[in-house]
Amino acid sequence: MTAEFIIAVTAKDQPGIIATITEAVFELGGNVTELSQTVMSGYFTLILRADLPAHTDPATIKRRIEGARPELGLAVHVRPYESQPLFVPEEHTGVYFLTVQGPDRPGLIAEITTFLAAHQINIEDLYTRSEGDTITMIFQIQPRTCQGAVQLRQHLAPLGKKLGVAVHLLHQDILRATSEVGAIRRLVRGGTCP
Amino acid sequence: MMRIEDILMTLRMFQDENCDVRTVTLGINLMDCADGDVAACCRKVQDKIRRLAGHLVTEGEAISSRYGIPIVNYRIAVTPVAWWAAGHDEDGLVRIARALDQIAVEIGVDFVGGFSALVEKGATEADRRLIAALPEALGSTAKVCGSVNVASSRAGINMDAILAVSRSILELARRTANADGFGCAKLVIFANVPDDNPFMAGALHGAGEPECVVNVGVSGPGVVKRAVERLRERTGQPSLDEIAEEIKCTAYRVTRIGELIGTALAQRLGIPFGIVDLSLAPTPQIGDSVGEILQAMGIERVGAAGSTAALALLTDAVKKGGAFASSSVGGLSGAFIPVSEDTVLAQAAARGDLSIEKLEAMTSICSVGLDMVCIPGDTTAETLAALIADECAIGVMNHKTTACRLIPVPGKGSGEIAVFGGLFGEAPVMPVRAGGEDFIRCGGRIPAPIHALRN
Repeated sequence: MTAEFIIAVTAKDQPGIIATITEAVFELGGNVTELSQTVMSGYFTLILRADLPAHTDPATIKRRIEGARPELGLAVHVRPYESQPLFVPEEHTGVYFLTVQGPDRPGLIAEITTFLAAHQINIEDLYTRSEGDTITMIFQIQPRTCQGAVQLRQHLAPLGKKLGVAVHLLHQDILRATSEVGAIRRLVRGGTCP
Repeated sequence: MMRIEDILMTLRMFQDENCDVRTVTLGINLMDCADGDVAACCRKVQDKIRRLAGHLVTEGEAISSRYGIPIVNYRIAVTPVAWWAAGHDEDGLVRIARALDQIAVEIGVDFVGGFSALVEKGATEADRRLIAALPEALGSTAKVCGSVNVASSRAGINMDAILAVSRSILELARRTANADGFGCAKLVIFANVPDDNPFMAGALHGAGEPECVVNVGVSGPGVVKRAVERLRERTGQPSLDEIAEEIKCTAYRVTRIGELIGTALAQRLGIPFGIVDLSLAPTPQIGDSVGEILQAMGIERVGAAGSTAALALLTDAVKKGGAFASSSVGGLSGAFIPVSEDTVLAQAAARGDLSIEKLEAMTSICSVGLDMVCIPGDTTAETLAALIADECAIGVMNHKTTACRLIPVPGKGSGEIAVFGGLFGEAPVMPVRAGGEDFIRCGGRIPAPIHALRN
């Protein structure tokens, strides 16, 4: 019998971090089934899902990973994996990209994400980039309903005006159409939203 | 997540570069609407268009809203009227035009094309009546567009028909004199007319087309221009093959958007998707001009030596990028150079940089032809016919579509400005060299070229 765990790790970036983490999981009798990592401003962060023996204690996993190479300064958080997602779209809404560009100021991200939360729109990925005083944010989002996407589009102009930034919404299919080589018919068949 | 640069590049196309779907055009076969009673014929036409296209605009707007892509125009292209309205006199044909106008208003489309006749080898009685009815039909309606195909590479050039339509053009200009002859902006004279062109004023639903079909015309002069400018910013002095490559990649992206919108809309309407027309269609808006693309390529004064070569590069690169992007490319698919609708071209014409002769040369390597070109109001029918015949000769001998949308501006002479407003813009009246009228008066038909014998 095995149990699944979600393991999150942060550290100052340097070579050997993923090797250390995955080796520790392997030594505990586990198998990594999904992994995502990124590096930002020299800091490393990772989230992975792993199968481990059913009796494994989360505190043991944390201790083994952090203690494998203490000089790496790994900060580990472990929790049992629950397969039931808390956000489930009510229909096939498709994925959108919300882009925000304009002068940066404290609280801007909070205001936008609060707006999205109020409209039951889930953020699946977020990228920000600053150039001088200008910030670019790209949110990969999924609304709960098709109507939610329509309403979001209607609210974009007033939202942008209120926040003093340019806000645009792009459907994922548009980006795929312009950036990929696959047949358009497959894209359209994939999206069944009325 | 997708590549950030890809996302920002696509965003720029819509945010800053006027990328849109220029037209969604529903082609509808009206052959089954023929009826000896003109009132019954009009009723059948309206019923069929209402049934097939009644939801075109609402469904199109739903797709536009879903994807966030503007669809600028919704249009209907019908089977050439002369085919199914044979037997009706000129008054009957005008009533049919008004019925088309009425249904266009009712369902909210911008134009209905197909008040047309195909007479490249000879005219039927119905064709002759339609050509005679053009001034009243187009002059008394707002949304009906007409076209006459007077030449083809297979049949040659029907000079009698050219002279007849020239007389109709002059009469149409007179009837719309208070709008600088604007009625003529709704009439196109073709050589090798395509059966699936979605762009007005020359759209029609030709032979061999299905019962009903969705065709799409993309746009994007602004996107192409900025792509060339950015290439210059990045590389300083790009070579022409680098420019061609950049345009090709950009045309690919623009066309894919048209293909996506057309496919999605066709699926939603339950109607087959026909073609994407790749033509770069300018508007008078700054940043949406084919002339500006030529300038970005280094043609400082459009019309100067080098303009034709630059346009050839542009047209070919657009076709190459677009052909790979779409499952089915059709229509005109080139670069449009409508003088009044392209601010840079209109300015070049006003300065004298761009003459009718240079435009004619440029049309030998792009689509469509002498498009939205204003000429003096006192031009004779024979001189007008000679202009059209020259343009047809280019199309016939080169196996390509060429067309004329010439506007004799009543009461105005060379150098004066004709103002149409909106997407039709404004342009100077350009001088026309007369002297070939006796050639036109010979009448008859210029035989098909030898390379028409391909079998």
